[in-house]
Amino acid sequence: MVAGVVQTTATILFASQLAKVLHALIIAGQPFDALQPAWWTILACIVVRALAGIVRDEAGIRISLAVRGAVRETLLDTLHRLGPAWRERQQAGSLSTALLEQVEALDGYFARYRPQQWLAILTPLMIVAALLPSSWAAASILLLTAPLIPVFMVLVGWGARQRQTEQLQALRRMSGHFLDLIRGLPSLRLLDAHMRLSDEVEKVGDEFRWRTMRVLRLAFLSGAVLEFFASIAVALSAVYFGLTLLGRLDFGLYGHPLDLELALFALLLAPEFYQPLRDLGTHYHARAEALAAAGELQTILDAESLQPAGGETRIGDGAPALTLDRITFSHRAGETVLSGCSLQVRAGEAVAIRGPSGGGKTTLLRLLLGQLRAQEGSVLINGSPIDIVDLENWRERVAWMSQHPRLMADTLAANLRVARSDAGEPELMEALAFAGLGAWFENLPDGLGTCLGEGGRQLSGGQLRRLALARVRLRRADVLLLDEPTASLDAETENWVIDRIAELRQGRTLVLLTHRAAPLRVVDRVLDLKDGSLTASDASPANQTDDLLCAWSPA
Amino acid sequence: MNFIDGFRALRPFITRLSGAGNWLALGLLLGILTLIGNLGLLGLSGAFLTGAAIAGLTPTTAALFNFFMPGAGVRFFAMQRTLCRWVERVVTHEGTFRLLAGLRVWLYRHLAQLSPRQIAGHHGGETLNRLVRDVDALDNLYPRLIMPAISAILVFGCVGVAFAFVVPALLWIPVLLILIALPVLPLLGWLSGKSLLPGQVHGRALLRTHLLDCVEGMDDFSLHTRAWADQRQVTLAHSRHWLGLQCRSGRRAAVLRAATTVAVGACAWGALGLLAELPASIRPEGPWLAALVFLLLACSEALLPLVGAAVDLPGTAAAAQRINAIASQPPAPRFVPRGPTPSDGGIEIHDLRFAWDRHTPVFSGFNLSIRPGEHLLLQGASGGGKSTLTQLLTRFEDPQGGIIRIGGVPLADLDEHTLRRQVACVGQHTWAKTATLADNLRLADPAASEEQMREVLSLVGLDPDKQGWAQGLETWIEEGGVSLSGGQRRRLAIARALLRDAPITILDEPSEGLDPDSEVTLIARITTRLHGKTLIWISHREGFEAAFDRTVLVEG
Repeated sequence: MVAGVVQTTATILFASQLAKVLHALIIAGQPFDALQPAWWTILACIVVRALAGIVRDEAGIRISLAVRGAVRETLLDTLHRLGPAWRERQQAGSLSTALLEQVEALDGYFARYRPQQWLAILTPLMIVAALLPSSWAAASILLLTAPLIPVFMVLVGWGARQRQTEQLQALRRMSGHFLDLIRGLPSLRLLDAHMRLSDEVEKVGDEFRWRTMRVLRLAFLSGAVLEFFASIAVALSAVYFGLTLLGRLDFGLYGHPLDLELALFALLLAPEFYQPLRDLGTHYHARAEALAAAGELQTILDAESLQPAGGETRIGDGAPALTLDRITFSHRAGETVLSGCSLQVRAGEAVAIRGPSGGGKTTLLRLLLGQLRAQEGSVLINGSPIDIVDLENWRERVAWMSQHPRLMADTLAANLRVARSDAGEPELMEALAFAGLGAWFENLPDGLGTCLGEGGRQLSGGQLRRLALARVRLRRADVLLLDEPTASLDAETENWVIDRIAELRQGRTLVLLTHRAAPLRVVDRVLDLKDGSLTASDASPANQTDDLLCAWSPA
Repeated sequence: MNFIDGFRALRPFITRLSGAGNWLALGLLLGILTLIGNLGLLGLSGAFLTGAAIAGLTPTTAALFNFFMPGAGVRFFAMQRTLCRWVERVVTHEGTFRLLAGLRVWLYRHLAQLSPRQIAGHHGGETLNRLVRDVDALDNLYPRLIMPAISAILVFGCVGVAFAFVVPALLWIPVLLILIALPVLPLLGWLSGKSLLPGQVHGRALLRTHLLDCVEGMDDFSLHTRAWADQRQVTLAHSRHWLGLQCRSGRRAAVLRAATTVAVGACAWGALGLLAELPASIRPEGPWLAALVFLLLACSEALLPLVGAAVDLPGTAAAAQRINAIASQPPAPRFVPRGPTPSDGGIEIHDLRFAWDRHTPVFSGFNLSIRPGEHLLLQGASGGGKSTLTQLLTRFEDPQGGIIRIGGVPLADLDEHTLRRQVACVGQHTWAKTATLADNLRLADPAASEEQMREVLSLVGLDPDKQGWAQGLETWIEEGGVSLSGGQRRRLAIARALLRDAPITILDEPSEGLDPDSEVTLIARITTRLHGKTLIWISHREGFEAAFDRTVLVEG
């Protein structure tokens, strides 16, 4: 702001000195030596104006950095508060886009648009103030259009908004379409459709061009109007002063005679009067972009938590009993997942729950963890309703294996310490050995420092499952919640993993979700989840070989 | 990468105009007219005022002064500037949009011939995202850099002509401006942006992976507060670091912008001093003196827009380089343009040798013979080469040794069209296009009737009516198939493969994610449907060997 004012002041001084020198040279015929001080002042003004520009940019950058850093931090905390169940409902990839790209989209608004907004009002006022003492006519040529400035701002805003949103959307859709097809190329090739679709790429491009141009032709008009007024102001000033100098006009100068100095001064300032407004127009897309991004970020910040609030009660030591009492749960109105569903797991008992994919098995575990709130019924941990349980403390005592274990793009050690942040190296290695990754680990040149995940070493499906097992081993858990722990494993590995689970379950409460037969042998009881409620299964662990699919009964 | 390499990387994109050349040339012309209007307005106004002031000194000259010509000129330039600006914007945008579409079509056609491994390298999704970002970055090449640079140079040339006529002694000043526009400013932008660029790219990638871990790893972090605290701290540190780098690059751009303003201002300032010092004999008259100084001042409008583009130049060049690197690869398995037609759906694999790289051999002397019409179950542990075999049979990869024959014809002799018609395949990579369900099915067969589509959909258990999709075949499928679950997407892919109606069908893990009952049903329906045609069913699970003619274990 201050820098902007300095910039304008330097501009005004620059115009006055330049006019003075030109006047002295041309009209008064003074020798150049006498004008040296004014001539050097011009250079000083140019430099000061540029320096003030740097300061102004710097201030904008700093504000924008502070805002983006803070917004990202708030978003991360909000996501953590909302929890994994909420995340599951968001479109894949949309949250990381929000955290990275959409936060970045706030940049232009805070760095450029907002500072400019004030200058667009201040600068014209300062220029008029500079002109007014010498010529009210020159000032009023500018001032006549001044009441229109707010109108212009709206006009610029309207035009630019139309233009930018349309253009942004068109580009985004075009990129989206392109990305979609590139992702699909392997599939498209197998269908022999890849060459056919290159015409579609062309067609989509043409269509976007046509649609966008229709809007743009109109939207550019608002810019043109501003340009028109800026040009007219220069032209009018020139004509007015020219005629006055020739003696054909005689008003607006408080009775003083007009000289070239004043005329040139006014002429130099006329375009500067409109410059900030034009700048504002060019930065307007930053505002449109930021508004769109802010809108989407706001929906995250305002999202309602799906989790119960929790309380202060801590669960007693040892393996707890888990109870679901006549639970009704639906993700959206009309899509009931669980209805009147009850479950009782005694302390230290192992229960398997079977059911079709998408039948609500994972929802059961999320209810037990306090990551989802049931619409009806109650969840009890060791007899305490989950609403009064200290959730943070309770979750620390649970080991959870997700259906799709995930590798973080970090070192092996970091990938294990997700389960226990203070685990020492011997503990990590013990866990790896327990999960059958000992031999693999021995061959890693960088040991625990080996980078995994994107950009690092990839793991096969089986290895990933074992890593998840090592994580479970590291937890200081009293409860194991395992979601399809043997999905996508071949029979041999599956049996090996089940043996490890049998070891782990000792002294702990276990709830295991599966649609496969083999894991049933480690549990005490099998329940079927059908139509939203649980029933005791006929496929009890004892007679599991009766199952049609278990002809290859585990060794 | 030095400046010359950067230019080399950009060159193919500079010369590729995709039919937008005329539009851009017209836009360029109009842009120059706009700038001339601007320069003319200020220059003529200055000259007019000065002339009037000189004439106004005595009443006689004042009466004789022709103010109509300059007055009309001033108004003309004012109108010219406004009108040209509007038309220029419309024309330039028209041209740019054509250019964008052309760039994408060109890139798509190139990519379509590459194997999946050549496109995505080993990094998968992020490579593709970056590719799209790179294309977006190249979009700016013409409208932000090339066109403004050319028009600035041409306009400075016009200013130069004015100088050449009036004060040839000072011709070097417009020449200096031209030099600033072309080599100096881009070079400075290059130097200031280059050193920060690798750090910025790396910083962004690091931040992205950490943010992704925060989001995707939420299941784990939700259970362990201290692990989350660590992750949060590290992620925010990366965020700060990256923002800091951006701050430095923003600062450099600000300095460059200021330097450009000072340079133009100093030119006008210097010109003023030098004009004043000239001996009276060659010194231009008063109006010209004012006009020349004003002309130089107005030049900043042509130069300033270039600064931003100049700072982004290293980034744009890097984007061009990455796209060149991907697009310039020769298609790895190269197909013959026209080949023989296989006689039947039999497959012969003899002494097959293949390795992804030197350390991971997959096949060394693998043999397999499949009769036409045979239904084969391919089993084996994960990583045993089942999916690799799929890639070899569909010729996404070529073996290092041995031979594969389909219907008696070696795979390498088939043209791509014939091979695809002969072999329908669902790989592990399943994808749905952002379009309607019907459009997705028509990818397999553009002429498929509604009955055919409904038939295959209900066969794979994806009958739109039973799924509760009110729009039926017109149900909209979202980008990347997000609105479909993994299992649904896979079944859609199977439906497409069945529509191909090929003599050979290969299904890689088609029942992944299905519960056992649905799995058995799916196997029964597909084997019935494909009776008499060759079927290869790949699965790591056991228990349904009876449904197939033969079971083969693949273990390298």
